[in-house]
Amino acid sequence: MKTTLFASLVLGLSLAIAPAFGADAPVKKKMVFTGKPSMAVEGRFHKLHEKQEKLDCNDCHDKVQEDILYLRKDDRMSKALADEGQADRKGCLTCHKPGYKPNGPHSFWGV
Amino acid sequence: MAKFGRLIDTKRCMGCRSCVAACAVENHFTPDAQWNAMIEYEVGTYPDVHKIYNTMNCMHCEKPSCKAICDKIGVKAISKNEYGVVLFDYKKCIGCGYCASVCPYGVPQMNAELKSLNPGKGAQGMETIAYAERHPTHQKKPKTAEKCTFCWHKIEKAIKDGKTDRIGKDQDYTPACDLVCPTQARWFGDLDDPKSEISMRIKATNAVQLKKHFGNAPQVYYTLDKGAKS
Amino acid sequence: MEIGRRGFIKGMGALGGAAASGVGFDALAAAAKAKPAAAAKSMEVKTFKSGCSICPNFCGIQGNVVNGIVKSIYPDAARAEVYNHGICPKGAAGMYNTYDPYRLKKPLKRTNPKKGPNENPGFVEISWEEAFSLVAERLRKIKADNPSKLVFQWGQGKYLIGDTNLKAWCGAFGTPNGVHRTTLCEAARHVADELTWGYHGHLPDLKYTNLLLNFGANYHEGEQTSRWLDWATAQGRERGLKTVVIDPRLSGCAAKADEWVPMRPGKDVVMVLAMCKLLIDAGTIDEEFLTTCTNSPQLVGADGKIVMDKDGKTPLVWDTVTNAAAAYTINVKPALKGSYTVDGKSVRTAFTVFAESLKDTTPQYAEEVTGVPAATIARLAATFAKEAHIGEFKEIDGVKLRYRPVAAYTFRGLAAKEFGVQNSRSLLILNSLVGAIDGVGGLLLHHPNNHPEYLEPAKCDYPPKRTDMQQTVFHPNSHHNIGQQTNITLLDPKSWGLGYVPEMQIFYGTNRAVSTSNAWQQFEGMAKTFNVVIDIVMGETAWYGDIVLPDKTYLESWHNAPAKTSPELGGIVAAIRQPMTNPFNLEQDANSIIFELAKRVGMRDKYIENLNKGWKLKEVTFKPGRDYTTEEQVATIWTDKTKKDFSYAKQHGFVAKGKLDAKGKYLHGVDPVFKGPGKPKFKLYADHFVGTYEKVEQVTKANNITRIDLPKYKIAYAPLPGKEHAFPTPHREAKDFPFYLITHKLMHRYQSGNTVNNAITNQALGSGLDTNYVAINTQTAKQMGINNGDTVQIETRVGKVKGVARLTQGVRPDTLAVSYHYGQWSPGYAPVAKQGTWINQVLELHPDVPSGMNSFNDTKCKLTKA
Repeated sequence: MKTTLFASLVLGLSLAIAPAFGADAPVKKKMVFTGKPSMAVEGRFHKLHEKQEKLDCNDCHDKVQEDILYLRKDDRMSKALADEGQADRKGCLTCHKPGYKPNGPHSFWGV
Repeated sequence: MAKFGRLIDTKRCMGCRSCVAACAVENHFTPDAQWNAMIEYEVGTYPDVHKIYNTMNCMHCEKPSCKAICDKIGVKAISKNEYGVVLFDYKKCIGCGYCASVCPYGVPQMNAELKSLNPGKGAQGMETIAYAERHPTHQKKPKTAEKCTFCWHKIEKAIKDGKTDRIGKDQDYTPACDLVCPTQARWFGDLDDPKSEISMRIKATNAVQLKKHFGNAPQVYYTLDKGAKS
Repeated sequence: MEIGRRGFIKGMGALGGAAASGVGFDALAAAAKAKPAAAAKSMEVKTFKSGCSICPNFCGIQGNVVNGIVKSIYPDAARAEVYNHGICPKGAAGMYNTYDPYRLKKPLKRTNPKKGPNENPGFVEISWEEAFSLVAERLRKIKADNPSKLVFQWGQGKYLIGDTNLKAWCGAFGTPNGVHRTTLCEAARHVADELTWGYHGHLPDLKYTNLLLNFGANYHEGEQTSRWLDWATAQGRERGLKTVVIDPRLSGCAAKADEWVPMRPGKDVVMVLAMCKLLIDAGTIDEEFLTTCTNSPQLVGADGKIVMDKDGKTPLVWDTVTNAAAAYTINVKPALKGSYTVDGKSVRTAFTVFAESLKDTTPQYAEEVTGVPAATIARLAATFAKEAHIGEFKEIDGVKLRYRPVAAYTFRGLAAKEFGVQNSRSLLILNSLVGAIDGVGGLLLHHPNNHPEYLEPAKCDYPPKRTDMQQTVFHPNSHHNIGQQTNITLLDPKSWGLGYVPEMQIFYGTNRAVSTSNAWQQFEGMAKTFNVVIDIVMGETAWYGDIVLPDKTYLESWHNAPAKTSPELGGIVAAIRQPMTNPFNLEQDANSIIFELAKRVGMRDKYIENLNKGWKLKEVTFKPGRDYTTEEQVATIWTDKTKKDFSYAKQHGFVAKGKLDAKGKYLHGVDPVFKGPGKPKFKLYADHFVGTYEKVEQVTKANNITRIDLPKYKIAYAPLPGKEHAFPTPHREAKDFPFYLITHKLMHRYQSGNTVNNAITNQALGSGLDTNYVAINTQTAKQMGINNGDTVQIETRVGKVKGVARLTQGVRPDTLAVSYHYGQWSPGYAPVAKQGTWINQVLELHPDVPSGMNSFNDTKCKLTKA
């Protein structure tokens, strides 16, 4: 099994206590989490989405839609693998969608 | 300049994985880090069923998510050059994995270690070529993102030889995956040139980009077989 | 409006494909000026034009050697117009068979005399001198005693240094026992060809074919000429070629077909005959072709033989001009159909015999037997007839040619069966009914009537001279050796009438036992001989070796390479393979090994003489009294064949014959050879089978041969294929075994020997490709409580084996499919090579009687969740 940085976050996420996020989370908010970029469960990426954007783990990692057009073989977004840290990247487009300003908080998506 | 791209005709593709094998040997494959993969899936139910073969490599997007996030966090290890090729700089990469997390196509590969082909049996074949003598795109590192380069070492050679017009035509200047295909299901060339073979064939076969809704504008197009996903 | 975050995320799919606009992409501009990556140190790069040897496609390749390492293998661009446009994954990764650390590197000698899968051979390394000395000493003794006691078996080895060299060596030694492997592949198709039109080999004319009915050929995953078939069908589809694949499994070809027709295994002949009946009943047949090119109008007597003229050898037809029986001469117009009286005896035309034999083979009956709906069979027959354009002509290069752009094609699909010849023959007949044989877009034959003796009753030798029973009463038309038979004969040579007991076997480039049905039986035979094995890896055959000699690979040695061309060309003049690397500094290759042995046995000059004869050398020949290195041998043959200096070979690798014009392509075959009066005929009706059976019966009774079951031979040698040929032994007898079990190839692994360790094909092509699976229809599996990945057990009348279930919509509900090149057990392989299911060990072996072809696809089995 491939050891990716993603893999390390898997168990942590499933154990994380997800706060009851409000449905109308702020669209713009100054980035509060800095530090070394990391995909680890306790790393910057997850803190940003979990704490600042108030996303539930399941928002990304549950109910993953079948999307087999995905190169990385051990990271396919199938339901069977949903518990292994896969994320539904379609969800990302909820915020990181066309129209956001380049330097806005959601600009990293690049579109 | 040119904007190089690829067309994969899934109507012609027979799923042999020759492109995958050629990529591996050309680009110093290490286990668990494929740059090119064959996705195959069945469509329909017995007895009305057929199979789709969809090879995937880096889409070299016009708007690469990987580069956007890498720039955003200030690492700037990812470039998109004037030939439309997206490249990772292993020396700058910090191994954060953000590129892999945002790519809708699952392209970037992250390895904790570079495994050998036959562990415990010493180096074989391409593994014996001295690290320093390899092209920089083949000087792979652990905990570093890597992916398909459109065989940049070959395009670079074409530029150096003044033969950019032969890219996609001559073996020396064409990505390995594209030149081994037994059924000629792959084309590589300049997307900016409407008269290039690839441009004309994209048009003629109504080829599409995969997952266009992500807005990345991939430079890899697919001619879709009946029932194929996009 | 408030949208919950979750709902918002779920709803995002409606975003569609709108790309961003007006959004700056700062980094892009900067990156556009990215410098080329820093140049690596200069490396020495050499290219070599050569040929792949992994399978019988023999693709032209270019090896790119960087600092002495074969870094990549590309297709030789110059071969695109000749044969292969690309190469397969095995070829692209072929250097990792050479760089395999598990390879044999030194000669080995066995110290444990016991042979068995669990017996450690106790191999010790020995010098080449000791190895040659030990083998030569044993060879000298056998040669002096009885040379027949040596059996030389080769498989892919035939394609490495050439069949010709091996036969020349056997000839010099004096053994008749050189045994190749075609009965483990497609021999029955070849024999069906030979017994129908006098030689073997055919291909669809895909430049013009509009409808290809493919009965179980699988050129997208294996098989001969497949690199041309791959490309040509892909090209064809773009101009409108339709392909229909009839196969129990959604094979690689079926996956790309316009229609997949999942037929019950082994029943093809019934569907083909039902189609023949429909064509005949509808009158959509090419009467002109059948009358003038085939033996359809010849008169058949009550004894099943053709009625001859007074000379006893000229077939009679019914002349519609004189309304009398007559030899087919210029003024005679033969009747295709009808029953007549000749000399007071009732006779029928061969065509009428065939048509009447189909009385019960209705589409409804075919549906019952094959599982293919009658309506589908009727539709395919009607489409085949319509697309055949019967009666039409096409002018090419100013030549008016029969235009029949349909072909029914097969390879192992119809051949790898107990009645492989009869099944394969049925398809030739189907093609002939519409005149597609050698028509434009039809089925092109390779040298019709090249061996006229194939159209006569077989000799049926007894007692046998060869251990494999080739062309004996046991398998009268086994023109391609019988690969699996020697090790069976060894279990009880006397019972086969063999006048000697074989003592020694040389195996070269073959892992025969593993590749054969009922495989453990093979090992029992191998345990009885002193075995010398020449190979690149410690396969199972080498595990049973007494002396094991490491060979060089095709990237390390010189070979006179066989090579293919498309039907558009006249063939290859000569081709070579050349060494590019030698990572383990190996000293010998198979060619140098057998040359050295010839020398030490004292037969070098005889071997040289045989090489000159075998290669048909004319001007540049081998000279007696001297040694030849492998390179010198290859250069000698090249120079004589091409009249070009060997430097040309090193630079280009091959010389091909020119492109054929329409006359060369279409008018070299059936038309000049068979068409019209006074000529031999394409045998729609195999009257010579009647003669062969009579001989079998006579020899069997005269010699009290108990091994021959005459009623079975009578069915096997029926002059026409019939429904009884859809019921091989396991289908009739294994009543308690509900599933059909079929085997197939996969593209990324070749056979069961020297490619199984390949680090690239095992690891780089995708997850799960380093093993095989038991393909089970999803619905069937669900009913049985079997899930994807479950361990299942397959039980046949031969044995039990376990495998991992893979659920698929792409296989019939009553059929299990397992690829046959996994589950190796030799301890000498890389660990990865031993994964998967070795299915051959549980297959029943009921060889096709005429050809000796292995029955890979007839077994029935039980399936249980383990």
